[in-house]
Amino acid sequence: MSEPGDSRSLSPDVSACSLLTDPGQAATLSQREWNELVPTLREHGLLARAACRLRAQALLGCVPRETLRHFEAASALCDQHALSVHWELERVESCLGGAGIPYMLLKGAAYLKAGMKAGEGRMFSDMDILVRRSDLRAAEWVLAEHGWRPKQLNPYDERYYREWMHQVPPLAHALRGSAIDLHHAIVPPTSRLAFSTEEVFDLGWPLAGSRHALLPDHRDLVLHSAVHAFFEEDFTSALRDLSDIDSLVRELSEDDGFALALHERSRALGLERPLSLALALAHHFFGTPLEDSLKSRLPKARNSLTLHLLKAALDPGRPLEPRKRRQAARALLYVRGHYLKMPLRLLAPHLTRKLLHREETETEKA
Amino acid sequence: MKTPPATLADLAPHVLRSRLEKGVLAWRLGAVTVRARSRLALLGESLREIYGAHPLSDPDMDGIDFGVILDRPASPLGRLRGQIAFESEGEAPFEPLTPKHVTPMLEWGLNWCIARHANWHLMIHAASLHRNGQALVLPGPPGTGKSTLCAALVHAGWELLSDEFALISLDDGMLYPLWKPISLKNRALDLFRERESVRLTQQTFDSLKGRIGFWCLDFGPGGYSQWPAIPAWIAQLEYRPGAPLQVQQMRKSEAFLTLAQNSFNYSSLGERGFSSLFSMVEACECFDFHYSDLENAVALFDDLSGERRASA
Repeated sequence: MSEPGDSRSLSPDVSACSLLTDPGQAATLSQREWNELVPTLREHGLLARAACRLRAQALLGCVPRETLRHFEAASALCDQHALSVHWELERVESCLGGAGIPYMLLKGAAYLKAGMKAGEGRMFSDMDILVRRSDLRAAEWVLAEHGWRPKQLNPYDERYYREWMHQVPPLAHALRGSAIDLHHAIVPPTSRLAFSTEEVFDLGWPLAGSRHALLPDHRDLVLHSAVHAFFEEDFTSALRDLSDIDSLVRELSEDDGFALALHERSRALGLERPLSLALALAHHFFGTPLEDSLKSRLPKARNSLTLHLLKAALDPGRPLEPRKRRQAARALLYVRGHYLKMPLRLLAPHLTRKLLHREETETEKA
Repeated sequence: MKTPPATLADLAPHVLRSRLEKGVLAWRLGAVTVRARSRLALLGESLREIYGAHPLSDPDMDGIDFGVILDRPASPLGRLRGQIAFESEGEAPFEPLTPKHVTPMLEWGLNWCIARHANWHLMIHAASLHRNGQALVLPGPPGTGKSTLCAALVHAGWELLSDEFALISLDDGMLYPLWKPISLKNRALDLFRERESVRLTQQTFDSLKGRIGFWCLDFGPGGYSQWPAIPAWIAQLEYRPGAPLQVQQMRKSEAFLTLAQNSFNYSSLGERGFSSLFSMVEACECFDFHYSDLENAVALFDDLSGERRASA
């Protein structure tokens, strides 16, 4: 008998990313390849999305029995998740809407409510909600009254959120545990990319059946996701975010004018660079089609060091294989993510403090 | 033609090590199949001790449910201390430990993975065993003596499904086995060390909950069950030092709540979780159960399974 693993180099690998955009490949996959794909998809929160796409093309029959149960379980958990998010959002509506506070759903919650493909098979732990800065206190207060309380933070972290960030500390429901990230801006006010929340509200469109909920303009959905992927100093869901961008761009590009409108909007908000970077990455990992008209107008992301680092940091790799390159790239980008959020005079003390604090806790544990 | 090695113990030590280093060592744990990667020779020895009799799987041919890595940690500080870290699918749920804790780290790590990934079952934190295909579920948080009673029942000839999980298949409602050693703590460890036919891991391990050792079973009666079983009894346990054996019928609604509260994934399964738990509780006799003497408790469950057989 040959040793398992000997056949490793024989066939070219279907990557987790390409399975999502070309599910037809499922028909050609060996059990060995499925054994590598499932953990990779799961690690990046893409298993349920893959299940949806396989199901949509009636390809689940190609999946071997012992692998199929993972796709089925993931998609069942995801359906249940969607059900409970709809329900939680009704509670949010009765609480923020009831208090007359206009609010906008962002990211996963927005895709779901807008019925977009990016919402299919997407799990998320927090509902992202944007309110105007002037409504922030009132929103926090009314959410707290209805059970969503801030998680306990130490005074330093509390101040970090309050003074420098674009959201208040994460809220969790005291009984049900459902989590809300309450934002008052899309990017931190301390950042060089900061723009006014009002501009996002201006183009928002009302969510059917709700008095005060808004959904972002389609272009803003893409831009927000791009900024998010671009800013992240934590990369656990970055590949999933890119898959969202891929999905949004593919769906929205069915409208002829979309590419140009997207570019225009990115310029108006000063987000051309993050958009360019995000689209280049989405293209690299998911083959996202980009119209030439858009490509030629955006600043070139090619060959930038950041792009190379991000490619390395997001590389899904193979399960159970060491990821030194990825770790190194992520460490470098961690500092960058913070640098983009805060000016250096704020950043240096913050990272120093985080480092010292980590040493402290490690010493305590030892 | 040479027959391929069937169990983990059939592998020559250098083959086992090389498979482990390449991350292609895979073996069946009953309801799930796992693979592992590690450069620690210690882990190879530990696997041979605990999982020697387990059937091997081939990751090129068989479905693998998840993989685990036990190795030197990424942090320089951890490396300097010579610690080992557990990782699975990019997540590291535990603090690094010293290499001599590799066995409990593997066991906790596998449990953690099962609780997260085996979602084609309704999973309940409970011991589960059967006799003649009729299964007993013993839910209970740590400290209620469920592992000890579970070990005593296995010693009396029951077949083990799992000492930590009740895995109820969402497809057929049967309870599926997990071939993992019974974890014994402190006094229970001493109690079973002296018994005949009990093979404990050579080492025991200090943990926050005290000293831990693992009882590695064989397959069949008095060991790991090779087959799923039909849920028949649910017994909520409480160990009360010095108290006489006390058994009461438990209301089904109460049994339902107890199991739901002890479940890892009841709420994320939604309606399917509800209907699967509902059918199981409907089909089971439910008890509330206080005990101090282990032998009395075992005799009670033996009677129960006998009566059940007689009336069937």
